[in-house]
Amino acid sequence: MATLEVRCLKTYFYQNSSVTKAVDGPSFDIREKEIFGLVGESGAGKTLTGRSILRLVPKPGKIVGEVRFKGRNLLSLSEKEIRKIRGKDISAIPQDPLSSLNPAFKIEDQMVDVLRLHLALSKQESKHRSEVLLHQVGIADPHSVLNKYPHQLSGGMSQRVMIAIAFSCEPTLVIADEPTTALDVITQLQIIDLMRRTQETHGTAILFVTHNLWLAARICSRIGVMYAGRLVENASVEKLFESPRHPYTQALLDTIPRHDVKSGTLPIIEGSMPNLANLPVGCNFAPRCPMKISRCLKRDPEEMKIDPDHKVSCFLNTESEKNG
Amino acid sequence: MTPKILSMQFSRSAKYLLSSKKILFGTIIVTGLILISILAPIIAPFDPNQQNRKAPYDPPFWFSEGSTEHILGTDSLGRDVFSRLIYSSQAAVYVAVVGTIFTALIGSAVGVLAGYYRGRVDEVNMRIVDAWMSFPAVLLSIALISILGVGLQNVALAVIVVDWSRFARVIRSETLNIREEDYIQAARSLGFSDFKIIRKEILPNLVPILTVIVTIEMSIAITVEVLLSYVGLGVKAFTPSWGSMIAEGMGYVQTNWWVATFPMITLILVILSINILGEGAREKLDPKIQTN
Repeated sequence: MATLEVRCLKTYFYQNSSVTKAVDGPSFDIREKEIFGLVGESGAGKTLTGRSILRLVPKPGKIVGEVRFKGRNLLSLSEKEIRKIRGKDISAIPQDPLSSLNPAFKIEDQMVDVLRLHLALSKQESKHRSEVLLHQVGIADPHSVLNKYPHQLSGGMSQRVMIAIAFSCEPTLVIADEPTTALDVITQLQIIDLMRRTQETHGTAILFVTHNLWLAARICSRIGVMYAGRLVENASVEKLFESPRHPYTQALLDTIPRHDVKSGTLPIIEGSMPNLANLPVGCNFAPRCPMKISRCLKRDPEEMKIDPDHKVSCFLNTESEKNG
Repeated sequence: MTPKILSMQFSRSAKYLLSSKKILFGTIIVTGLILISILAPIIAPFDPNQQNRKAPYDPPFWFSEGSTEHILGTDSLGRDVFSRLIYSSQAAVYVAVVGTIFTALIGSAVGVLAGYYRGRVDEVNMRIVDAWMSFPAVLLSIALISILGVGLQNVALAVIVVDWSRFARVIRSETLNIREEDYIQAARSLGFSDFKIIRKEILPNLVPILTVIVTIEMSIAITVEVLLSYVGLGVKAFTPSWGSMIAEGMGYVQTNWWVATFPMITLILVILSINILGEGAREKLDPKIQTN
């Protein structure tokens, strides 16, 4: 049994007469202690998938499907029960650390609040634990940081604090939503390495949501590629990079800048994602796909298993299966 | 309001606020006023209602007919103007403090709940607020006093009844802004309940805007007390108030001007000071003015 088993997760937004299918049926597993990447363009639904797992979807949105965490379906829990899981068994690292901290309180107060909420520690114990946690995320002077207010921290420092908070209650799974997007390139790598080290120490699984395929490859063991709310390819990092089976994945790989190829312009993917309230008939990527066949515009491709560790949703693969 | 600005304010708090001359000036005057109202029995040389029929209309001490006994003179019944001036601060402070506290409590409660929960709670509350605000404030307060009778408690009640809705609107608006901030989302993802979020994330971040509107509310409260007392619908018969002093003194202002003039000056000074305090607070705390 995997730590997290997502099955046909659908998060639709119902407004007036339109339905926006922001997350449209992805299924994937995250195994114990593994780092699974969810990669895609802005608007592909990856962030919302992460939020749906924690049931943090705003009002007109409705979540259906199954999200089994250690065997329990999170979507069928009461509000009280899911609150116990949030921050403790499953925690989240947000995209923008500076705005994710309460401006009214010092860092110490905020960390102590979380610890006392989930672990029922005394104030003294929580304060001590906070200092240890900050030390673990590479902050040289925890005492000084604890006494600061959020705006007094740099982006990198505050993201370290968020990581410390996320791991503070020994979660089984951490959902990291674009944790490095708001940071400069050098800090990005530092934070990624920190996350890898912390994950190894705590034995936590991570759902790493990002639009940066290159960054995902650095830290993840398996990657799921999302497009317009659907999971189009799901494979180990090696298989994904060596033999990508979906045209979208191939196009994404082509857009990664390579320092050894000094040719002219960077390849881009023509067109843009379809309106999620008005999806085309057939494969969502077909309108932009350079290799589409007639079938692609008529029916939705089903997920196919190429290898035990490689799934793809694309008719081209069915074709090659037929021929080869 | 960006979290960065709010965060800056909390870290510097007292020092930050007092660096503003306006806030400093306003705070000194308001504190002085409150002290005077508490220490009135000690400071005032005479009982404010002590009449001296033998010495009415005594002018202030710098006139030849005046004396240092009654430094600001006496009124038509020989009552010491200076003492009445001091004791009147009690009426103003009472209404300002009581009226503002309860207006803030009720208005904030309604505003925060409406702004945080939205949906049905919001709609119902705001319908009530809208309906409430369509009543003219003056008529409402006069009607209230006519029904309940005069007295400081009812004046404070009038302030609360009229102004809570305005308060609710402002707090609701600010709450709507705050709840969209990333740190609210982050708090939810960490497992905090609505109640905890309101208590630790919404309310503390409302303090800046609250400070601003509370100072404005005090100014309104005092003005209401004075106006009602002026027309005889404020303080009870023998309670001194700047309003009633002015009303009485206006009757003979051409000849014995001091009875009406000194309370007028005092009133203007107090209202101006509170407004300056509010302006200073707004400059330092109001999100819309902050630029750095």
